[in-house]
Amino acid sequence: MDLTGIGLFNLADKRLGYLDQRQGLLAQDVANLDTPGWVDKDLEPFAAELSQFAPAATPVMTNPMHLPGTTGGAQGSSARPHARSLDGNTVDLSTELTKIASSDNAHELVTDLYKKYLGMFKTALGRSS
Amino acid sequence: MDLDKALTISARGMDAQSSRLVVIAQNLANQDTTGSTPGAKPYQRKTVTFANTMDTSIGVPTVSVKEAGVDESDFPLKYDPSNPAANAQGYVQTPNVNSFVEVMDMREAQRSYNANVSVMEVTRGMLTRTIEMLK
Repeated sequence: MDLTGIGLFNLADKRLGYLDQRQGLLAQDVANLDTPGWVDKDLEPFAAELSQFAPAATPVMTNPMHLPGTTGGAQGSSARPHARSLDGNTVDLSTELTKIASSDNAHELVTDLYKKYLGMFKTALGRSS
Repeated sequence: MDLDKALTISARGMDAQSSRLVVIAQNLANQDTTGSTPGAKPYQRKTVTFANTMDTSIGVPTVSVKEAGVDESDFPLKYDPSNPAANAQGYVQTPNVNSFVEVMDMREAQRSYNANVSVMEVTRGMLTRTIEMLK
């Protein structure tokens, strides 16, 4: 059975692939903490991938009595350039470890969701999951 | 790129830091090694630099020791006429090893090693969770 035809499984597949690749890059950054001239690397945020998968839903005013709602928050840019050390290395250990922790959390979320979703299939098939 | 390769990258990072610690240990152990003949050169401090090179066997770039060089700074002179390496004026060339520099270098190597261990633990957790999806 090809599960990738089902929305959530397809998304989980892509997300795990993305996280695998990102983990490789972040591991490389940490391994090169003391390599002269090393510039830290990272992937584009996964949201770009997600937006092509499902466009973000936005509320629409259908009645003039509706409140206009909130405006989108200011987009803070987290991609600030880090101080480059004398040997040209730009890796900031705390930033790298934060990224790795968030990758780890995302990975846990995806695997848990995958298992839950699969459990629902099992329930639908009448088997105890 | 997969998680196995991420593990290898971290392991190679740890290897590189170990090699660096070996050189630091050598420098510290030889910080009093002078020559044995008059005017002979004492122990010269060694240095290591790292480089990221492509490992064709696994297809990802990994970090390794690029070159083990020597510190070209001057040897401090010490007045010690009884030393076999003393010159005609009684001065001995002593190694250009500064133990404070070495200790700080050691701390840095340890910190980098630990960082690699942490990354490895996280990668391993991700790998375990992926395997557990089979259950």
